[in-house]
Amino acid sequence: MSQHRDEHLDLCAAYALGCLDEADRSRLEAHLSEPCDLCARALRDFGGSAVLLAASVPPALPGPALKSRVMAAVGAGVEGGPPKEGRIIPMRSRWAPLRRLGWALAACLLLATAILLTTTNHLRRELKRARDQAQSLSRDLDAERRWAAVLASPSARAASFSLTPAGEAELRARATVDPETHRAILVFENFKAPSGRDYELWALRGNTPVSLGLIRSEPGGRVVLRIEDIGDPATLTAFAVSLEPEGGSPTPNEPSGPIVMIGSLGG
Amino acid sequence: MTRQEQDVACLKRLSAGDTRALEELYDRYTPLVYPVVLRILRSRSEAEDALQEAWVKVWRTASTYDARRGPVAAWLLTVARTRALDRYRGAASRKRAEARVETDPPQAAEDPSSSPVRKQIGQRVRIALGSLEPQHRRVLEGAYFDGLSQMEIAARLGAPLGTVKSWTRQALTKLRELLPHEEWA
Repeated sequence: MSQHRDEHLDLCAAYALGCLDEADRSRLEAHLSEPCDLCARALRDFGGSAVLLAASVPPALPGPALKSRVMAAVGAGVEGGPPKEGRIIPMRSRWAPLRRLGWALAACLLLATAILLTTTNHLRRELKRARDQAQSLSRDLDAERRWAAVLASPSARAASFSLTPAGEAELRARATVDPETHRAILVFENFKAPSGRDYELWALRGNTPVSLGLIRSEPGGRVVLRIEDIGDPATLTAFAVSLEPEGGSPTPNEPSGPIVMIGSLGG
Repeated sequence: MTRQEQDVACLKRLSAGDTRALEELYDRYTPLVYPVVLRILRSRSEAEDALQEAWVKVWRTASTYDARRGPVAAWLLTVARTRALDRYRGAASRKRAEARVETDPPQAAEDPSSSPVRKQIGQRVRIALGSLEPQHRRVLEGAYFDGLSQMEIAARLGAPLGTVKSWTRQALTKLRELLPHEEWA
C-alpha cells in the first residue's frame, strides 16, 4: 500500500464522479488495497455528494412495464398475470324471424368484425411479446458470448483451488480471470453448506480479503459465479472460500469462519 | 438502521438470489436513477433499455459491491450511468441523440407523481449547484452527466489537468458544505 497523500483525495473525488482515467484508477486501487480511513471517509462523503448531484435532475419515472421486464430478465415471475382477453357474449339459441333477416345479417357482420378485431389485437399482443422475447434472447446471447470470451482469452489466468484441513473432501472449485476485461468465472462443485451456514467467496489482494459474496447452494451443489468486474487483476493474488454463519461473515472485511479452500492465481 | 445499512442488507439478500430484494431496490432507487439516465440519453425508450440492463447488471454483480468505495446509492448510479454513457457513445446512438436535441420538444420539467419531499430536495440541490463557482459547476456536470474524463474536461475548459482535479474535489466538498444534512429520501 502507498502511504496516504493529499492527492489521493483528488482521486477519490474523481472516482465518485466516475471520471477517473485508467492510470489514476490503478493508482487509487493500489493505494486502497490496504485500508485507508481518510480515503474511505472521502469516498463515502463524495459518493453522497454524487447522489445529491443526481437528485438535482428533474424527476421522471419510466413506464410501469419496465419493472416487469427487469424481473422477467432476472428470471422472476412477471407481475400482473396474463393479459385479459375480451369476453365473448353467448348468442341466443333461437333464430331471428325472417322479416328481421336484415338486422340479423347486420348483427352477424358486427359480431364477425368484433371477433376479427379481438383476434387482431390478440395477434398484435402475441407479436409484441415474441419481439420482446427475441430482443431479450439476443441480449442474453451477447452476454453469453462475452463470458465465453473470458475462457478463450489468451491472457486468461486460472486458479485451481486446494482444500484446507477444514474443507470437506468432495469440494471442488476452479476460477478463470481475464485481466483484459476484468471479468472472472468461478465454478464450484459439491458445495452444499450445512444447515444454518453459508459458503462465502473472498478475493485476496495482497493479504487483504475482500468479500465477493455468498456461494449459493443449488440442486446438485454446482454453482457458477460470473463476476463482471473483479477489480485490478494486478493486485489479485488468490481466492479463498470460508464457511460462515447463514448470511455471510458479520465482519465485511474478513472471514469469521474457517477457510475451507484456497485458489492461487497462476500466470 | 441507516439507509446505507438497509441497502447493504438488501444487496446481501439480492446476491443470495432473493428477487424481492431487487424489487425493493428498484422501487427505492428508480426515481433517483432514471432521471439521470434519461438526461444522458434524451430518449425514454433508450433510457428504459439502459435502465433494464443496469438492473440486470446489479442483479448479477451485487456481490462485487464494496462498501469501502462509497454508498450503495452511488454504486447503483455508477452502474446505470455507465450503461447509459456506453449507449450514448455508440456512434449511431449519438447521431440519434443529437438529432433529437434539435427535433424533440423540450421534456416535461417535472414528473407530477414525484413526492413533494423529493421535489424539495431536488430544488435545494439545484439552488446549491447554482451558487457554486461556474468552473466547479461545469466540472461536475461535464463529468457526471456528459461522461467526460478529467483530461477532456480540462480541454473543454482550457484549464490545466491538475487544476481540474482540484476543482473536482473542491466542487464536491462545497456541495456537501452547502447541504450538510441533505440525504436523498
